[in-house]
Amino acid sequence: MSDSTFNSCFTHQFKLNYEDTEKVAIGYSVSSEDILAGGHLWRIVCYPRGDRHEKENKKGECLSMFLRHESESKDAKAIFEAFVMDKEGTVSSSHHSRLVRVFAPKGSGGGIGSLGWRSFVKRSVLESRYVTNDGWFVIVGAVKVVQEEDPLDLPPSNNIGSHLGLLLYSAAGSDVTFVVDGERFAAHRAVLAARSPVFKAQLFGSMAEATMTTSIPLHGTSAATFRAMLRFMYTDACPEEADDSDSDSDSDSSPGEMFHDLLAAADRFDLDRLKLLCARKLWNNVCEDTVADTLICAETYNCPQLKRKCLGFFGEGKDFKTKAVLTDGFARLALEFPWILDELREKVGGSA
Amino acid sequence: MSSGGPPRKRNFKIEAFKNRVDLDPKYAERTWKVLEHAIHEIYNRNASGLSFEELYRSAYNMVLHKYGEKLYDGLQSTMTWRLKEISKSIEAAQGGLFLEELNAKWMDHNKALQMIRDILMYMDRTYVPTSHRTPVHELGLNLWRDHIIHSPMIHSRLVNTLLDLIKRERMGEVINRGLMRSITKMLMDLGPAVYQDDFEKPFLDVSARFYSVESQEFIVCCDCGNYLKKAERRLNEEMERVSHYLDAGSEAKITSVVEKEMIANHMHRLVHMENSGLVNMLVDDQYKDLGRMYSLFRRVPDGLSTIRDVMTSYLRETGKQLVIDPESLKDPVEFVQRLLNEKDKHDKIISVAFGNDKTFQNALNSSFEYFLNLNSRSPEFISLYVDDKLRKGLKGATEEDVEVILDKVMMLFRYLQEKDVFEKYYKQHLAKRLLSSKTVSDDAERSMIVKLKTECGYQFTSKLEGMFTDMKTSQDTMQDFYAKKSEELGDGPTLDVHILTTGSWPTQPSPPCNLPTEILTVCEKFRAYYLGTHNGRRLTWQTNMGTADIKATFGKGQKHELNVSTYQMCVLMLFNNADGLTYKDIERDTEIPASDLKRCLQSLACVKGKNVLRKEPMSKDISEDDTFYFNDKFTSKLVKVKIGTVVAQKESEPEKQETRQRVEEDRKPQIEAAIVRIMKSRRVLDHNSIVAEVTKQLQARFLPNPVVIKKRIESLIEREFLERDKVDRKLYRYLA
Repeated sequence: MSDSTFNSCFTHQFKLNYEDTEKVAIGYSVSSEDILAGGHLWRIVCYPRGDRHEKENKKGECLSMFLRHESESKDAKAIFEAFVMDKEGTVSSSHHSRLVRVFAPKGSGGGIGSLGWRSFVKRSVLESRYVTNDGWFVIVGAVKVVQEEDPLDLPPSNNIGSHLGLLLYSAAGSDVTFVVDGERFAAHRAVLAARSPVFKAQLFGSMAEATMTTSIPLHGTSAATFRAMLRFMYTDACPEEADDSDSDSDSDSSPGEMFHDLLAAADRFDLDRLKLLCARKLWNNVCEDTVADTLICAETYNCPQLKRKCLGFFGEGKDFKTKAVLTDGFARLALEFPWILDELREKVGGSA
Repeated sequence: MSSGGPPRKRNFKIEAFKNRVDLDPKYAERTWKVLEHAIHEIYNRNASGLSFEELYRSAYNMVLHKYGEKLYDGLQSTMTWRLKEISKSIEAAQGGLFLEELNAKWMDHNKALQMIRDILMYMDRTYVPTSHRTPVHELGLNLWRDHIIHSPMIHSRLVNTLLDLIKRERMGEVINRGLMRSITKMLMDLGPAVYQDDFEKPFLDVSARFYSVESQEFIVCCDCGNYLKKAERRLNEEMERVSHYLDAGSEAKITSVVEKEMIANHMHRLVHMENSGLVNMLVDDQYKDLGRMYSLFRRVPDGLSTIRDVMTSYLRETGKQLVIDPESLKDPVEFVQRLLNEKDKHDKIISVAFGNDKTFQNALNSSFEYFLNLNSRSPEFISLYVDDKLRKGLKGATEEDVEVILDKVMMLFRYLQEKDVFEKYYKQHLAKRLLSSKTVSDDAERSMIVKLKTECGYQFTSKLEGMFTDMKTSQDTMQDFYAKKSEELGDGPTLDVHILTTGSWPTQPSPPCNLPTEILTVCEKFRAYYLGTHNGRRLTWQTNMGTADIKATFGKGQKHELNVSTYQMCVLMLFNNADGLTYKDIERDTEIPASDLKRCLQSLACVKGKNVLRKEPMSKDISEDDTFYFNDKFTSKLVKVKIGTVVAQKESEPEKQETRQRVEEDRKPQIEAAIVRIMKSRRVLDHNSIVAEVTKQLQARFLPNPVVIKKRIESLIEREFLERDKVDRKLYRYLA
């Protein structure tokens, strides 16, 4: 017998003489020394003629293999493998078994501390296929302990967004109020200044808003858009389509239009990340009916990434191109953004 | 996944913007008017009443609706107009208020520019990059540069005002440094090129003229030391000015100007200034002035080499006078001490004032080497100096003091080119010290030997060490002699013999003289003893190097113990049997050589207080017609009377020539040995290469004379160590 380490698990080899094992009693066993693996003690046990008299093992027709947990401290989850070596010395694929279990400590009343295979291999098969010319056969057992992950190894996920979101929701400590479309939004100057250079200039600059104690009116943006933008500035989260169903105003507006407006607001207030998030939303919903309008949006609000995607869309598929060109959006594109048609011609390599 | 784009999730229609505002040209014009008015309000310091939201949105809408160019051009023209107005108010500022007004307006412009950039942030971010225009802030700076700084009315006035203030500060006035700092910072903010072209260059030009004039005035009315103080102060002032209100990059440039105008251009005149120049500083040990000169001259090209050259010339001349002055040649100890003092003096100057500069140390070393070897007697004098120290000069000195003095002497020794001459003299002087037991300590003697060995190698000192060995051996031999022969010797005179190995000690002619019978007896016993224990040895007596102690009783019964040389002993013993003897009688009876005998008799008969003999006629010199008598009237307060020989402290001219001749003779075999060594390894070599190689090998001891080398080559050819090449007569071959 020899012990060795193999692929970071502990292995033990049994080399036995077949003729000798024919004479031993049922329940006779050979075992490894105590194996230290994963901080626990183990023994690999081999019963050449089975561990006990059973219905299937009346005359000792089977060889049994077991892994026994020898530690007394606590449970251990382990992988136990056993296989027979061919006459040529390679691992047999037909008699190769594997199990993963939790092993109870030694001497504990409740759990199972010893597991394996009672009928690992029939002795008749052993004799005919695995015994070498000089009468020996080799069985190998391997044990590897599965380590549980330590919760301290993983840092907790970032939750600053939800905390700031709560701050926004509760309006605690707010020091500025915006009036948008008649709706009032309480906010914190420092947060807005940190997130947007435009708001920084407005709220901490030298003009009226820097010292205003009353509400600051904000024009050119809808209340829904401003709310979504404000939430992003606090939580870094882009709103989902479902959020709009809770909105009291603009109940008839479509999600596409909402992202359209939000992208425009992001461009206006220099929120690059929000702009890209909106662009992705728009791109995910693009189709031949909407691609021209989306392209106009990308060009107008300085989103080259989205523009490139839309131009690529026109270049794919004859049918899509034909259908897209017939939309009202495309007509407006040709009228107001004629240079884009030149880019399109380069892209598709033909006449639109 | 399909390649036809993202899958369709929902079919929806994008409606027109609800908040979209179409800008027609009239609307754009009205929007621009709002912004233009705001820009004016900002410049009028009324920004606190403006709505950032409105202004930012207006600019945003203009850019969004393709009126970016109108917005940008409007901004440029509006700022230009404002700056022209500002230019007028700056130009109108009276006298001293000019810089104040300029600075105030600049600060206002910066504040306005900040706000304008803020409300036009969207244009800066979107329109400016795509149209390749200049960003707003940079545009504001460029316009200020072009319409304010480079305005004809302001530009020259600005430069002149700045330079005038600097001039006043140089004259001792207190100026507004904070204001100066603000103005120069403004120029730097407008771009390094603005600062450099519009201020720094004229500043450097004016400074060069200022310091050129000032240095001319200083050089006429100041001595060298004071001039350097002023130059140093000016340098420090300029560096301080930079740290207070100029750009840091100007420091190297302005200090370069001061260095050139005040130092480089007057360097030679300064060092040669009468009564206060470099030589005067060196003579008078003016460390501070020298240190200042060193630190200032180091800043200019050739500065240190100028000091070094003058110092070298001075050292060579001074040293030359020292080693040539006939007066200083009279006393070798004084001669060497003066050299050591000169070395100490300049070592201190180099250490304290020149920062231990290696190039100056090298200059000092080469100067000493130059003049020390001008006097061919330097080796002898250095040896005599050591002799003086080891005889009595170092008596009572601590071990540390001994080391210091010997180390200093070794420094002079290193400068000698003829170290073998020194060795010859040192051997003679050491021999005398050892044989007369006149040495302060064995340790000091051995310390000197160790230093010489360290400097020149074992071969140089092996014979000197042999001399010490002989002294030790002799002491042991005499102890053994008296231990074994005490009964035979009885009450005869006591003998003390020094056995000197031939070759280790300086060669001396040893003419025999007739020893008194009493001495002769004990000498024969020693000879028998010594040759009995040292088979094959040969003993020769060197009576000219011995001493004796004699007890004498004079006329009135006074007794004295006389310490005399061996020769003097031979003479005095004759008077035990005779009252008067002629010179010829003495010469015949003692067989002492005439020159030695005369000196010997002169010490015995002509030195007041030590004249144990009386001579007729009475005169200072000894002649062969003189007659000598025992001096019954001799008296002395001392019981022990030391009658020294009249010994010259330095060699007479004939002796010097003789020593020199022996040195030359000793050099021949050394040169030949070197030639043979070289040819043995080279096999074939030309004449010039042999000369160069021999010189290289032997220069640690002496500089071989090429003529002598040539003669030695001829001699080796005659003796068939070498042969001439048949074709090239300048080529030699080694014959195995």
